[in-house]
Amino acid sequence: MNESAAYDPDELKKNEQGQPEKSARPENEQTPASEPGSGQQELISIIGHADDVSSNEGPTMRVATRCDLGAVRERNDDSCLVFSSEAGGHFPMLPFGLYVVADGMGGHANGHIASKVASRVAARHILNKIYMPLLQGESAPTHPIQEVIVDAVQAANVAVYQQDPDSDSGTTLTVALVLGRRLHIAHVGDTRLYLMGDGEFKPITTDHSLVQRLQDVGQLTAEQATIYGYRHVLLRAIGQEEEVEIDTFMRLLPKKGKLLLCTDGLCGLVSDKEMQAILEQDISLKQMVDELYDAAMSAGGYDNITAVLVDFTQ
Amino acid sequence: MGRLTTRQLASKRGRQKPGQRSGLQPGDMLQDRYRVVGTLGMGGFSSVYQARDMRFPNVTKLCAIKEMMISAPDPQMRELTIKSFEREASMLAMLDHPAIPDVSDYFTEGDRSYLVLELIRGKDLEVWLEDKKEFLDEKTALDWALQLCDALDHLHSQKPQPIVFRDLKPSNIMLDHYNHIRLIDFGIAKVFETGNKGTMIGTEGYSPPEQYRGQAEPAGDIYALGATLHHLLTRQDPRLEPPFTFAERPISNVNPGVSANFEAVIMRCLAYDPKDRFPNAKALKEALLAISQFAPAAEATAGPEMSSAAPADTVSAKVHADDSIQVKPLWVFKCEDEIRRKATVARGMVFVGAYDNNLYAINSESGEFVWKFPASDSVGGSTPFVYEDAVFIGSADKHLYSLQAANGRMNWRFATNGPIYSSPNVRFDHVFFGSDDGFCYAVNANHGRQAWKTNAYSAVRSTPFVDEDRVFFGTEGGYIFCLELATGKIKWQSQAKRAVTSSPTVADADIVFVGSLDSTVYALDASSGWVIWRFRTRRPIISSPVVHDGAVYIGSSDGSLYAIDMDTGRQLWAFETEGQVASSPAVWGGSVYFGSTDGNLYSLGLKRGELKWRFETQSPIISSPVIVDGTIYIGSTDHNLYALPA
Repeated sequence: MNESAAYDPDELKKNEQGQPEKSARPENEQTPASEPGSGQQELISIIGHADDVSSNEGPTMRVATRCDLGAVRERNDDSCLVFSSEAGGHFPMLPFGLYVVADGMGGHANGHIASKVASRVAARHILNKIYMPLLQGESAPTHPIQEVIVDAVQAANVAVYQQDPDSDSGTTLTVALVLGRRLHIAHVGDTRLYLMGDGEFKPITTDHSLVQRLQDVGQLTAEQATIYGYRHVLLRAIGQEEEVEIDTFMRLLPKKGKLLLCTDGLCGLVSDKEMQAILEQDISLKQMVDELYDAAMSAGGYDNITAVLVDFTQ
Repeated sequence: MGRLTTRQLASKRGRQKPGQRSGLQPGDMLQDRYRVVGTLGMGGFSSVYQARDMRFPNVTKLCAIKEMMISAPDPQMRELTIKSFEREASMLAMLDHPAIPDVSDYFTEGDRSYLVLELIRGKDLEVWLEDKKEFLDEKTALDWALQLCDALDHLHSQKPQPIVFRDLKPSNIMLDHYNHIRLIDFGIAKVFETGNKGTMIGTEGYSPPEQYRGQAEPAGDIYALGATLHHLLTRQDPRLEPPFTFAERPISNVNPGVSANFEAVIMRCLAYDPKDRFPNAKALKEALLAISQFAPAAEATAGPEMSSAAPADTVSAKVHADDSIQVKPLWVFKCEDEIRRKATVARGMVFVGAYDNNLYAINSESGEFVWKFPASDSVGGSTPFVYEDAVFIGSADKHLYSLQAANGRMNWRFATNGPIYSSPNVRFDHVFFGSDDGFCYAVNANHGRQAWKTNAYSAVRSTPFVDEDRVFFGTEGGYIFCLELATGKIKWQSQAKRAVTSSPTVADADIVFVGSLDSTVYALDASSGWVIWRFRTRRPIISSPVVHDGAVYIGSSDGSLYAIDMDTGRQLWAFETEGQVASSPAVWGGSVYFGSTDGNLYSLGLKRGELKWRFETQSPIISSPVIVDGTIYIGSTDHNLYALPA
């Protein structure tokens, strides 16, 4: 039966009062009994899809990035990757934005290779599992979105680990996926994602660092943390073991705001207040990332400096 | 999922085969006196060898030689490092305690310094823990703790400066062949190793927080002793857990054989602030002696309240037989048949459908019967809904009824083509409900005229959720639908592998939560129908989810009530009952309430899922509780409707 007839507005005027029936008691349907759970296969797919589902869609996103050496280091061990897509027309697609930063661990292990491998493997996984199917006409991703981004980071972990299992090679990794109005994050390490909106500027991710843990147990104040000698000790990193514990976050974005992904060469040297002030100015995104870079350099530029700045407006 | 989150350091590497690094080989000579016989352990910056003292050529006099690399590249730093090492070695040579090995010699050769120590034969506690599969018993733990305290006391009492051991952990504590505790490997080695550019990973789980700030005080040894005991008694290696989380992993949670007093002493050793710990080893020793007077595990009182940090991980709690506190019902009303669905409370009355074709209206304060309405068939599958002065309910006789709440007289009824097991939801003057005829209906609440109906192709038994402009429901065919409120037009449909009997709930963050008979809880984006996360339980889910303060609460026929983080789908906690949880939970006043087929109604704490009380009925509870003004109304298959204080 074609249910499109069901939404004829004239139906509202029809008089379809039920008739009292004296029919025999019908056979009882089975009560909703629980069946033994045989196997765990579930599959999610979308079938019918009204054309205008994407009318309350998603924000327009613009992005600017800066990924530089800094003042002291000889090599840039940071990596970043950005992929945005919009499609308009009769069949619009939900706006898609993928933003990745990774900070390779220094030392004898190739931090620059680790961060590159991690960021690209994760991006590839997400584009393959979510973006390409949508581009090919599927109406929805076949796997839950949180699972895809976690698998992407896990795949990145395996890739970095297998490059050289005996070495210390490792990197942080923060992956942000914006689908329409929803922000999904998978994260390991001390790179950070900040959300600016509704007047606030706050980090969403938590640092997997010793210095954060010491603050959590009250052994270090936030001020002391900025000068603490062992600031760079990580408690979790990509590529150290075959499996890694990954943090996930999810937020509904406000109508208007910004996302800032950065490595600790920026957020470890420049205070949140200072960054917020830079982002609140009426200048272009490119000028903002340049100012963030300058602020980190003024504070010493001791590490590689990376900022991925996304502006979204509905 | 692997539990390894921090990198293991010296200890793990200590198990490497010797010869993998450029160390001393058997036959090498040191100082023309000591002949290396074998390697006892290798670490990052230090190694320990077994050697023979050739000063006694006619016998095999063995000793242990600790080798430390001098990592300073420039000559001045080298000089300083060597001097500081020699000072420490001299201090050790002055010590005289049964637990502390004798130092007989020290010297520097090339870029390494050496300490010659008494060789201890036995097993270190890390190996001991690997070999032994059961928990350490309290008596032995106390005995070892006292020996260690005694040794620490000796170190801390040295003049002019107390000696801080700095590296106390199971692999540095040996049990010799006489079962005496011997300390080995004094903390001349560093706490952790550094990489080239200052980026490090990993911590040693036994070190106190202040040690990472460069402060090595006697109180740090107390912490390390507490950490060691915690590890021995719980078998949880602190190097594999998030740092400084001892308080979140109480010993008694894991090892029931430890007395509350002993646990309290250990937890005091582990206080974050050094000032909160025992001031010195002597004080700790006195506390331990006091405990060893009592038989371990004498008092079964609850453990001390520690830090308020809630466990981030899963906490499972089983039901204990002696946990049922007597909760007295305010009243009990007996119906003629089983009550399988939720009641509705409004206007001073409780409305509930029983399997006997009747809709009952009962006075909510007194439990007195007010009226009953007989349908032609069971109304037990549907929960009544009260809107203005009417009560609406569906029946297996295929009709949706609108009755006057005050007296039960029928206003109108609406016919569908199949039995109705769905519960109606009334908003914006319309009644939304489903029927086994496969349709979702929107009917005007005042006069019973249909506004629209939409074909969902299979029986709709869940209660539709209605928000400002959308209607959500699940079907027995395994679909979740989102319809436009005004017209019934389909916005999207999403499919699970099995029936969705559970009723969806939509949270502020525009997420639809629903359970399925495929054992999974789904979180879908309400606008697109895309799955954000899914959470698997072990058996089908009939229960409907409830969302409160960032958490989703839902029951499963695997017997547990789950609390799941709304944003990430991670489990916050799970509570196991002895039956199945078909009931949907209800949240009120800091607690969550639900029934189980084991016959009990449970009240649990929201944040941690701890049992507050349970109420026993005589037979399985399939229906869901409803709470109004501090009173819980719940029906059981024992035919009773109970009113209990919350």
